[in-house]
This record gives sequence, C-alpha cells and structure tokens, in this order.
Amino acid sequence: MFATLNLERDPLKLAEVPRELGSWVQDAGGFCLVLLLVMMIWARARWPGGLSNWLWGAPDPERPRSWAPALFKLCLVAAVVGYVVAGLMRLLDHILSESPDVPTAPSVAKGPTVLVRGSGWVLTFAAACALLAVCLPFFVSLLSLRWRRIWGIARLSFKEAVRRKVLWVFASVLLIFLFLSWFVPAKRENQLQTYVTVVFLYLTPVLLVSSALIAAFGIPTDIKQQTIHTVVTKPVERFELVLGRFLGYTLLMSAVLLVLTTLCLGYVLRGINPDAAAESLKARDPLYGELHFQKIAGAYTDREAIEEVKREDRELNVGREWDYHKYVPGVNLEKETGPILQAVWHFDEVPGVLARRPRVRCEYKFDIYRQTKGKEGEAVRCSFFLHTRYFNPAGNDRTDYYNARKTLLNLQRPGDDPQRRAQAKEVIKVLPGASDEAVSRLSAGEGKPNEIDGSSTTTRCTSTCPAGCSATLGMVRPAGARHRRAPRC
Amino acid sequence: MGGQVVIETRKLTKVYRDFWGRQKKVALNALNLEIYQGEVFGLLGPNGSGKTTTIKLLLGLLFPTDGDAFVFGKPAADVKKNERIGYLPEESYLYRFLNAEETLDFYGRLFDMPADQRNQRAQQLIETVGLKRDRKRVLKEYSKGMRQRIGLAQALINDPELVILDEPTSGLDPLGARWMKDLIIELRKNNKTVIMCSHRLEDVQDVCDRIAILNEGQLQALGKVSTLLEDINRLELHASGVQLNEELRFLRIVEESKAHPGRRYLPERDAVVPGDRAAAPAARDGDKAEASPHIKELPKK
Ligand SMILES: Nc1ncnc2c1ncn2[C@@H]1O[C@H](COP(=O)(O)OP(=O)(O)OP(=O)(O)O)[C@@H](O)[C@H]1O
Ligand SMILES: [Mg+2]
Repeated sequence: MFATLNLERDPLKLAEVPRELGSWVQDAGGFCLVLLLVMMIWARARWPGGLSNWLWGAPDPERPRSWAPALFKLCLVAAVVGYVVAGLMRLLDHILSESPDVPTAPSVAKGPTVLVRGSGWVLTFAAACALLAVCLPFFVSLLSLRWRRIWGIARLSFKEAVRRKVLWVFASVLLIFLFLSWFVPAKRENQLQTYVTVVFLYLTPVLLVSSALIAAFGIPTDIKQQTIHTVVTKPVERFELVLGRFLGYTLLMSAVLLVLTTLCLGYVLRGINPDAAAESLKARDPLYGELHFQKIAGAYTDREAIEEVKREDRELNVGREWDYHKYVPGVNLEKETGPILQAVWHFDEVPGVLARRPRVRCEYKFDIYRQTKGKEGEAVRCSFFLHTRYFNPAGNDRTDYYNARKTLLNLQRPGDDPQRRAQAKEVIKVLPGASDEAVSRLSAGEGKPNEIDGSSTTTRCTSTCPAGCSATLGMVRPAGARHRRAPRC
Repeated sequence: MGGQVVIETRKLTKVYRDFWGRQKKVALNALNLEIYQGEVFGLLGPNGSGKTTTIKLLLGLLFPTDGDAFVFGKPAADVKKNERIGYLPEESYLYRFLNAEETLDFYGRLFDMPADQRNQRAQQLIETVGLKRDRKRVLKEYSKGMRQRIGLAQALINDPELVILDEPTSGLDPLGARWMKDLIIELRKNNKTVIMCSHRLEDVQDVCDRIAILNEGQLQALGKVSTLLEDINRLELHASGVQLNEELRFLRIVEESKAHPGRRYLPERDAVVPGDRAAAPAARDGDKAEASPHIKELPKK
C-alpha cells in the first residue's frame, strides 16, 4: 500500500550502513564523553570518591573489585586516550602535509592519508568506548531488571490511557476522518494514491502528537498526583519505571496503530474505480539511475553559449529542500533562449529479464516548476531519449536528435496542416533506429510513449503533460521511479 | 526494646528550599532516632511539625539536607531495602482508575511476586481490610476511609518487616480507628516493626511502645509512652492554669519543671502523677474535662 506513496528519498542501501553506523558512533560517543567529563567534575565536587563511587557505590572490601566499575574506568580511560591519539594523528598529518620537503602531489592523488584514515578508526574506537561507558550503568541494571515489575508498570500505563479515556481522542479523530474524503478532490486514476496520501499524512501527525502527549505526561502526572510515592517506595528501580512506561505506551500506540490502519485500509479499499486500480494496484520494480546534467553540444546560439559559460552551476536549483531537486530549464519554444540542458540517468544494471520481453512498459513521473504562467490549456512536452549501450556519445548523435526534435516539436503544434505532417515524417526518418510504424504514428501525432519499440540504439518518445498545461519543463525521473510527486499542473 | 536496630538516623536534617536555592523552611532539625525491631514507634506532633518529612526521608523519597538515615543498616536511598517495607502514605496516593483487586495486583507485581501468591495475598488482604464487597469498584468511587483501607492493604502486600504508616487513622470512623489500632497491635504480635505518625495523642498512646514528639522540626521528647504521657498531662494542666489545692498538688511539679525549660525526658521522680491513664488528672478535673490530651496543646514552651 505504501508503494503508492511518493517518498522523497532514495532508499537506504545496505552498503551504506557501516559508514553511517560509524559516523553515528562518532557523534554519539563525542556527546557521551562530554557528558561523562561534566559529570565527573560534578561528582568530584558533590560526592566523596567521585563519579565511580556515585555510580557504583563505594568500593566494598568484602566484594573485591566487581567487574562493572573496573570496566567503566577502563572504557573511560580508553576513550580519553583514543581521542588524544586521534587528535595527535590529525595534528601530525597536518604538520606533514604542510612541510615543504614532503612531495604533496602523490598524497593528493592517494586521497586521505593513512594518518587521517587511521585517526578516523581511532576516533570511532574512542567514541565507542565513551558510549559503552555511558551505557554501562544501563546494561548492568538491565541484568537486575525484573520483567514482572516492568510489565506491571506497562499494564498500568495501558490501563491508565484506556480508563482515563485518552483513547476517545483517537475515536474523535476517526470521526473527522470519515468526512475527509469529501474534501479531497482527486483525479479518477489517482484515487488510490490520493487516499493513501491522505491517510498517511493524516495519521502520522495524529499518532505522533498524541503519543508524544501521552508519553510526556505519564511520569509527570505520577509525580504531580504523588502516586509515584507509592511506587518508588516499592523495590522498583528508576530505570524499570521508565522502561515500563515506555513499554506500555509502545504497546498502546501499537494497538492504536493497528486499529487505525485496519480502519484506514477499509477506507482506502472500500471502492476503487478500475482506472485507479490499474494505475495503483500494480507491482512495480523501481530502478534508480545515476543522475547528472549535461548541455547539448552545438545546440546553443551565441547568446545561450555566453549565458551558459556564465552559469557555473549548470543545474537549476530552485530552492527545494533536498539537493536532488534539481531542474533542467525547459525550452521555451517561443523565444528559444536560455541554456538547454539535459538530465541524464545512467542505469548500470537493468534486469536481464527485460531483454526477453517483446515490450517493456516504462513509467516515469516528473515535477514541473513553473517560473512563468505560460500558456493556458497547452501541454508541456518533454522528450526522452533512451539510449542502449551501443549509443556512441562521441558522435554527433545527440546533436542530431536535438535538432530533429526541435523541428519536430515545431511541426507538431496544434493546427498542423498535412503538409507539415509530411515534413515531420521526413525529419523523423533522419533518426536512426526508429521503426517505420512508430515514425508514421508519431508523425501523425498519435504516438504514445509506451508503444515505441526500444530495440535500436536510440529511441525517442515524446510525452505531454496529461493536464495539458504549459510550463517550464522540470526534472524528469526515469522509468519506474515512483518516488516523485505526480504532475500537478 | 533490646532488638536489632531497624532504623537509625544521625543528625537528620531537611531544609526545603525554593527554586533559587534560598532557604524556605527547616522542616526537620538534626533528628537522632533509633528504632528497634518489634516495637511500635509513634511520631507525634502538631501540623507541620515534620512528621511526614521524617518518614519521607526514611523511605528515600526525599534527600536529606544533612545527616544520614539508615534502614536495615542500609542508606535510605537504597531501593533494595523497600522489599521489606510497607508504606501507607498520608493521603492514599493510589491510582484512582484501578479497582481494589487491580491495585493490589499492581503493587504485588512491583514486589515481583508470582501470580498465584499475588492473588492469594490480595484476596486475603481485601478481606482483612473489609473491602470484599467493593473490590471491583474503581478507587475514585471510594470514600476517604475506604481509600485508607485499600492503602493499608497495599502497604501489607509484601508481608513487610517494617510498616510505616503516615496518619493511619485519618479519615476513619471511631470503629475504623479502633480496627486500625488492633491491626497495628496484631502486627506487633507478629514481631513486625511499626512506625506511625499522628497528631492525635489517643492514636499513639493506645498502640505505641515509644514515641517521639516533634515540634517545628525539633525533637521535643522521646521515650516510653507511659512516662511521656505523664509529662504531657502535667504540661497540659499547666497551660490551663487552675487553682492549686490539695487534690491538684502535682501542679507544683509543673511549676518546678517550668523552671527547667528545654527538653526534659522521662522524669523518673514524679511518682505523684498516676501513670495509669484512667486516673489521669484531666479526667478527674471537672473544668478541664474538654481539655482532652491533644497534641495541639503540647509544649509551646
Ligand atoms: N515540598 C515542600 N516544600 C516546602 N515546604 C514543605 C514541603 N513539604 C513540607 N514542607 C514544610 O515542612 C514542614 C513540615 O511538613 P510535614 O509535611 O513534614 O508536616 P507534618 O508533621 O506531616 O504535618 P501534618 O500533621 O499536617 O501532616 C511544614 O512547615 C511544611 O510547610
Ligand atoms: Mg503529615
């Protein structure tokens, strides 16, 4: 169901996990060490025997050196030493790279030096030690936890929420929800998508806010009403209290989530028109290509070339929140000014099964960012050039295509006479690899993207915005990439 | 006495401070106490004298400003000691959305008791405190006295060695108060240690072995009830200032004792006043009849 959502991020790849984990450990460990040092200063001032005694109690002569305080001290020392060593390594690296007698050119070619990489490892190690030191009291108390107590507190939290009628809030939310579909206009084939989006956008804040509120008031209410007095005078560790509350609220919210999602599923699936079902209830396999931008050689007038040179950042950033929201400016057919750019997706691997199919259905979504109002009632055209691996970028192919396309677009404008159509046919014939049938259909203005056979080195398809508006052409996503917003013109 | 020391405080002091750390109230000042195993110990004092503060310090609910408190030989902040303690708060701070059975079940879980034991103990206690008929009702429908009863049941769920009761008879009717006192006596018979506090003398004098009298956070008196009560009675009559005659000759002792201000404990010499409560002067003295021994009239020095 969530596949119909347009999530704004590429999925996390498994290969990135170790690196991300490493940087997380470094960040968290740094904070932990600062916390530990601050607490050490505090404990020295307030507590006889310092931090270790505050955490673990004074050393007991009867119980000679239990492992926890020893490990704690070891971690702490290791963390501090690690940070110092990492700092020294960085410093050394800095000094070495600064000194003139060391040739710099090879080290630049090598990327980060051995010292820098080594200091990275040491830093991660030190941070992990600090993290362990901070978490050790939790781990140790984890050993002495009694799940019956925690479960008791969890049940209490659950009952509290139910009996205090907090859940009525959710019920009332649902009530509003039932009427929501009245206010959501949707195109026929986008029905399911809209429903899911509505459900998702609605449930997320409601659940987040309510769980935050419930959880935030649990223990404070206990303290305020002093019910906590009867609880903490039982053999309950503070950690167990927090854990129990946490568990209870997690269970509660899971239950709420289960109920709400079931209801929402009913809401979403209760009646879907066939168009929407064909559009949305279909398995898709997204392919993510590497995106870069390139200018079209020879496609510039002099003025455009000057502008292009002036503009260092070739892709147009329009201030959207993520950096991959980059746009290529569209061609304004009226003026023919402005730089002409192409967004190029490169797919290193395409599933082999596709080769065995007579036809491959490709879908794409694109986002259009309008800088001007444009012409009302006119479609936005964008062209896709699908190159196979036989395509030779060094040749003149691309320029030829561009020029042919420009001509074609001009010819295909509404109100074309038969003469112009014939002209278009001629133009398309120039394009190598286009099948005769496709050419004839295209030149008759009937071509649909998915009807074009991509067996040759290059296939071209032209598409128009279904809403039929005119705007600057935005970024185009590759086939099957479902994580773009639907065109809303 | 002679038993093991269950509770020991050394110069226990609590100063309530406001948000800025400025001193607001000295609730307890350098309290030294030793409470022994198997005794019923009473804390007596007028409102705001620091009884509840003392108890909270003993339970580790508050951190002392100064001094130490030890329970079962462990610092009061130690959570493990709570296994052996039962505590009835001043007002029964219980979850009002639970019913009696669920309440006891919840607190039983906190003591890590297995289900059958929890259940059995809960039923038994509900019967003991007389809430059998109301055991399925939620606590917010309970009256004050009923809440006090379920609070007591909650305090006894783990069969504690040390029971700490903060004003156990508050909110109870005379019969209920009597029942509570019997229960405390029963606990003592089972060799439990009981600490209770109250501002009502008659609560304390019936059941307690020893009492400590607090006023404004200061320990005023500490000792056996019988001995201290004589002291109290004398002081009370002193306050009412009746005419001296042969019958009330013990008043002279009061005047004497007035000459020794400060804390006088266990005056052994006053054989004059009958130790027996039935023969207490207030009962004999007609115009003092309403001046029942009430702690409010206790030493204002
Ligand atoms: N949280 C607090 N903050 C500030 N002052 C407090 C606080 N709790 C108690 N006090 C003060 O400490 C003093 C002792 O309070 P405590 O509750 O111990 O009295 P008490 O002997 O139990 O009285 P009562 O018989 O009314 O229950 C009072 O003057 C009270 O105002
Ligand atoms: Mg009190």
